[in-house]
Amino acid sequence: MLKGICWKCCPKTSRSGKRQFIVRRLDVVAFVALVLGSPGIALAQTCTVPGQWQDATTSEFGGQITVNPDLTGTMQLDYASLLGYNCYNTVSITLIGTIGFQVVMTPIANSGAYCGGATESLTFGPLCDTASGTYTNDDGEGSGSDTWTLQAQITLSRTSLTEVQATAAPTSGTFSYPTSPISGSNVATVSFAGGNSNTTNPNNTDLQAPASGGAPTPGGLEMITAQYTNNGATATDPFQVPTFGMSCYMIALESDYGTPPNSCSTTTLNGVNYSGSVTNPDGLSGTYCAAFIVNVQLQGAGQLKSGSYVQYQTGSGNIVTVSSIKGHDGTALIPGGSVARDLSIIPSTGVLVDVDQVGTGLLANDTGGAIVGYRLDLFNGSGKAACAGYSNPIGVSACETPQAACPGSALQ
Amino acid sequence: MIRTFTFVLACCALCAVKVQADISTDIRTVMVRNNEIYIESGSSPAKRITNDGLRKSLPVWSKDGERIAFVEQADQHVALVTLVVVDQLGHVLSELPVKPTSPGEVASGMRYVEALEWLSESRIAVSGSVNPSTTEYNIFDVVSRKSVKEFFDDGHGAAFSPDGRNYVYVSGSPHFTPANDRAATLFLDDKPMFGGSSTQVDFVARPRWSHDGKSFAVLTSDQSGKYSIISATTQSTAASITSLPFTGENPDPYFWSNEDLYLTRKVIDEHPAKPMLGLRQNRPETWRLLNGTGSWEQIDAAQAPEDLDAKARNVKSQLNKMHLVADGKNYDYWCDKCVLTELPRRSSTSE
Repeated sequence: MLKGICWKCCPKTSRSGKRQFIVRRLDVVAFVALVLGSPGIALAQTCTVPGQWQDATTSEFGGQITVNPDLTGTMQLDYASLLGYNCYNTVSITLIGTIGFQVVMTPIANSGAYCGGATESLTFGPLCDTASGTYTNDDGEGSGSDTWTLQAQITLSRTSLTEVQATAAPTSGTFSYPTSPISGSNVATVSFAGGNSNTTNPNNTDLQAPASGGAPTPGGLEMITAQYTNNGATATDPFQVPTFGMSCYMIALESDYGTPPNSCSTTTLNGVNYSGSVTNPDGLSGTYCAAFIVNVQLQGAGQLKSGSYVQYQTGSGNIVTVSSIKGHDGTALIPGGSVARDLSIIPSTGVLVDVDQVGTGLLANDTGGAIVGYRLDLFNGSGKAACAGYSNPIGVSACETPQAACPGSALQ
Repeated sequence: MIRTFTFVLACCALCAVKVQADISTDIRTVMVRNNEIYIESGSSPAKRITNDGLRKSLPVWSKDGERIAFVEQADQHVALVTLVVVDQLGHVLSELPVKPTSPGEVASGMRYVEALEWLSESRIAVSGSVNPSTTEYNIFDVVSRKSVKEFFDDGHGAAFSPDGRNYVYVSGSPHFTPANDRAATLFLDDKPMFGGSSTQVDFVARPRWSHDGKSFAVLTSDQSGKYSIISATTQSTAASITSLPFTGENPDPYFWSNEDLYLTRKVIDEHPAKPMLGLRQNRPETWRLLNGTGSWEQIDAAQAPEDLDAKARNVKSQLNKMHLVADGKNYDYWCDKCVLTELPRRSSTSE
């Protein structure tokens, strides 16, 4: 049957004069298309999307796409030479039968001021190693053609907050992990774990926050791109890692300031020296060291020797007892377990944050104007001892409830 | 729109060239390396000007570029840190203890120094946070070697006028104050200008001064999330509040050009010159506050003045990248008659 068709369509005459039949793969495809009609035809083999792809658009800029078995993934668009930064997206794939797929790209937060989303409709090529079609940007004002080309494969797993393992195929390639700061500059460095080199497969890497010292310093957010190069083809899988610069705060503790009425310590604030004791200050019954009361007014809260908490009400000017000290979000602050954050970084309430060498599950339920960017202020309870000698470390971090600017530990 | 797109291309693809075009060749750099102060001038190699091994940070050039202030570690039983001013040869011109404590005295106030700012040729503001909300400011006169002013800000930081004579800050809202009890008030030189318990606004950014030092503005939001601008002059007895000409967006940045206040926001460019995958193309929309009227005038983007503060910050950021600086608190730059003069002479752990 095929021969009959080919004979009619593409006869060739040999030197002997006999007709020969040349069956070309495209003819097979054409036959199938003819028989089944198009669109919606089945290809000779079933194409799949999961894997590493490289795309190239008509504008000559493109990038790398990683598609997971569940048809989600990431896309890095290489605009650094144009914008000074790349654009990073999550992707969601929907199959169109077996002939192609649709892509929805959504930019990762902090990807860049000019990075936006887009949708694509792509059709598999005959060998399943390409997919071509068109894109439309989500502002509705940019469209063009795009072609994806299948690459080598790389998969990542986060073995701990500071360790990443990459596995790639085929073997005999090399790994690298270029980084690109997205926000801030005190971001993590990436190095091969002990016993690993750029050819070790699976490949283990360590993430290390920069050293700190002195006054607290903001961390940052960076993009790390796991790359695997084999025979000239490169597979990539980008993921974001935040670091937070820590500091420590507490509430005033009565016992830090001596014993009233005659053994009170002194303190100086606003050029005024506070010494001695005061009785029934600001509506609070009892006699207290003046240095303690001025610190309650400064901080807004304190803890008495009895263990009770007190709060300074600016409206009335009174100091009143309260059952607990609450953060900005209205929930009780946990000594050693609550942090104040910048709401532009962690806007949601109830978010738990893991910070290497500081703690896991730190509840971000407080905030303040002095905490800007990738900074966390750890509430550590009452009194000077709570924060004495705190080293203000910078730590590799993750938000257990991923935020746009504070990703989780699961690799994107 | 084409102009906007071209601006992006020029600014980013040619960043190094633009940095050189925006500053004079007489740029001076001060940095901390291995706990010592180094300066670099023009094409000369960096030279060390201190040699005591004490931990140092926040180096910052004076306004005339002749002196450097920085903080140095101190005996914690004596002071929080030492404020030091040296000349370009490293000669110590002034040394002052910051937050000195007497024997037996309990230290209160700032936990550490987070910023230094030259207010004039003789005055320096030293600031540091007390807790997540409150920052203490201590102004020193390095000639008389005295602390001349202290105050606390409960907002997003105080702002000093370009000549250093005036200061704006927010007070009345200590950190642990419940939301319904806050009485945040905006002060100009310790005079209340706006706020208190009756207004129910949050100051959501640091105040900004006009370049002529006569006016200031600060962004606020109310409980519904609606943004407004509060502004006043140094001659005002009270500040006025003006709603934004658009809703639902944080207008940062807003900026001053001469004595006028401008707002900008990005709107979708309906006709991008060259569509590119995943590249959102916007065009700026600019509004000018009409002084004394409380209303805004939309102006043609082509007529909008340049945000020199943003330009200067970008130049400083590019200089940090050129020097491979990861920690900006240990670097500062000065040049005469260049865009960096638009910025306060300030070194900070967070900028």
